[in-house]
Amino acid sequence: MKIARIEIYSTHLPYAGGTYRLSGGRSYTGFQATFARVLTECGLEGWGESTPFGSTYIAAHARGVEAGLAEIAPALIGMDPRRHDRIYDAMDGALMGHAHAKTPLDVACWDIAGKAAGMPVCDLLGGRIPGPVPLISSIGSGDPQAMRENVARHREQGFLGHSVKVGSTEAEGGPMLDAERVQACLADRRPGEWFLVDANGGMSPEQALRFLALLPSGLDFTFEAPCPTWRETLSLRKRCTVPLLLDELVQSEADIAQAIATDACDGVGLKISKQGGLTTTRRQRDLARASGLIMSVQETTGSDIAFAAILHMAQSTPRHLLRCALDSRSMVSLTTAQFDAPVQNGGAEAPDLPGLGVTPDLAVLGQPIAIYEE
Amino acid sequence: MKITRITVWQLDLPLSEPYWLSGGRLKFEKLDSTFVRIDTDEGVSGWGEGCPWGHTYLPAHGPGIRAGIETLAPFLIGEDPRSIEHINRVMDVQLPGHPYVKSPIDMACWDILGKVAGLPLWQLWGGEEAAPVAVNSSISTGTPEEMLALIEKAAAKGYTVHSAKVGGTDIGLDVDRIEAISAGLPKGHKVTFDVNRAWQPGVAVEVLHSVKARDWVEQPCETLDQCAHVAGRVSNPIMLDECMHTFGDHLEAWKRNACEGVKVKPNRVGGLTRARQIRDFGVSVGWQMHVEDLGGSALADTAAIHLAASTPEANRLASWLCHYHLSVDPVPGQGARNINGFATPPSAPGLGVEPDPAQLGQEVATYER
Repeated sequence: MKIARIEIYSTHLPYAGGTYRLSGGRSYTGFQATFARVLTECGLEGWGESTPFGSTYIAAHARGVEAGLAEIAPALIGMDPRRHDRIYDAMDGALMGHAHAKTPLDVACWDIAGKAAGMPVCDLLGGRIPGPVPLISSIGSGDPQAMRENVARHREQGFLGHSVKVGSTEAEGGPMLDAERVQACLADRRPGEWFLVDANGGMSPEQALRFLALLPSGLDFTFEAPCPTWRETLSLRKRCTVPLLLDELVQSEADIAQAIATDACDGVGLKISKQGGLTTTRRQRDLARASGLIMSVQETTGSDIAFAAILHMAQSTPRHLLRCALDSRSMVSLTTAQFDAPVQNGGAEAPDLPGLGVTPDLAVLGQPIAIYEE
Repeated sequence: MKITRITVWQLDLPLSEPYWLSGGRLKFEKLDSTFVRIDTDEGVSGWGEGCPWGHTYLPAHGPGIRAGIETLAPFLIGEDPRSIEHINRVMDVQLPGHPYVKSPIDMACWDILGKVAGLPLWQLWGGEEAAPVAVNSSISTGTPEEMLALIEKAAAKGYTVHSAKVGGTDIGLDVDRIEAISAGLPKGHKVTFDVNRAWQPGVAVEVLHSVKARDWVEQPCETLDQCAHVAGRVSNPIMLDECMHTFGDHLEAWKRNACEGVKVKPNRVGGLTRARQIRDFGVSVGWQMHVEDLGGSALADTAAIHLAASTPEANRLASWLCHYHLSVDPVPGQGARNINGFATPPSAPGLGVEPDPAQLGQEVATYER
């Protein structure tokens, strides 16, 4: 089986909730999505998506995805899309780094491999663990009472996991405001619920320690991405007892190895395009599993095709270590593909269809912005 | 003063001879360079250049620079280019990572600051004089005899410092190369054996314990962890290059005694501002440094030579000049050139290199308010 042609599509995805706010005054109203459609000589096709969270979240931006694809895509023509590690070697040989540009091609190759084998991608990634994957809400930072109401709305929809965004600047209210937000969001906590408090790398150790000292004892949550650098994170780690989950700092196998070697955290956030696709996310998931790190499987953001990749990865991740998955669909107001994985009681299950199980809507995606072939 | 316009050119820079990375792993025939001119409302303009070494040497590539500038430009228009730390903060907030994108912008801002201050960059960075900097040769890997012949050829052109590329799959051949070159070096010459990450830690220990030579060894292995392991077990001074990206990496390397020196390359670390910060740290901890850029024309080379010339002689080894290996010269005759093995920075205000847009071909993008 050989890759004959690769088409690239680009679409703007409006943020479903108006304006999304992150620590450090970062805000977003929409995201530029890039899609790869990989076609084989024998008539199979696979799809993948990469949608960076704007340009200010991690070292990734949509124009960089397109520029990177132009380096990488020609190198894959003629290769067998089912040989994932060899495909990845070829991508690394064509362009060092730039994981977010490799993701859509890698995911599309898994889609093809699943279709060729007549199996869903989750079965190729180690096997389906039956039952819905718990989905996590995303509670943007704002007024504490409004955040509490937002948690309640998601609770009514069946969500068991909530990601509460903190990290306000000193001028906005600093650690005092963040402590109020967390107490408000956990005030009505029910058994079985899991809370992430996510600073998106926005705090110094000093701010993180002040924030933690302001909280009453007995609050059950995991602290995600408190600080921007490894040094700050390790400094905080020594001085706090709250479980830590790292996200932005962990982007590669070497990063996971470092996190394990330095005992920097108790869990990792795996985002498919941040880790570089399903091939590399699987490698990192297996390292995390071997070390007893809990995981949340997510994306920077994205539409239906990005969610399909998340769900197949999560569906095959051991449940005792999987805390939740992100339904990226809920963050954007555009549907780019048919994907039969409805949210029921705060969970979703990957469809039992070959490949990812997505049918992209070409009317929405428009004309390709680039085509690579022999 | 405000930035009013950013203009971008793309130039292919063919190498006069194809270049093979150590071990014959990768072949390079041309480089993809991006020239940037920043114009201001006060009529002063500054120039910058960003030229990664292909797309497989570091996580950097030419189209990525242009894509990054497209994302950054709207946030730079209207800012004061003389507030360089501020400009860097804006770039770091608007596009995390991507140091290679920021380098040409940062360079153009330094050019403007120098012109406004009426001072050459070597002086803005603390130098006493436009000191001539030893130029580093680049000795492609081969048999010991071939490599010694290349060193003789370089010596005839005035080079006294050499960078010999080693690191193949044959351990015995690497031992032979190092021993033969170290013993056969012209009197008074110095050599660094540049492995470009080719060795596993075990290979590095095996080779370096087998040779008598105690010359510098550069970037023996892929990661900082691996290099730190090697540095603790061998007697050769170690220089680090490709595994060093952020200032934090340099702190970590120093804390772990992983090296006695580093290569300071503005395009790898995110520009002259970051490179100067690393240089200053290196001086304060006693490192010896090669200050040079990743690649580019005499424009990028000259910027690095300004930084090298302002570095105390004891901390400065030699600087490689990329433009010397190109078959084109988009800034004919300008800037720091190799004269008998030494390059001297210009003393005109700023970079002292003023490209003629007519030599740069078609503009690929213009950003203005």
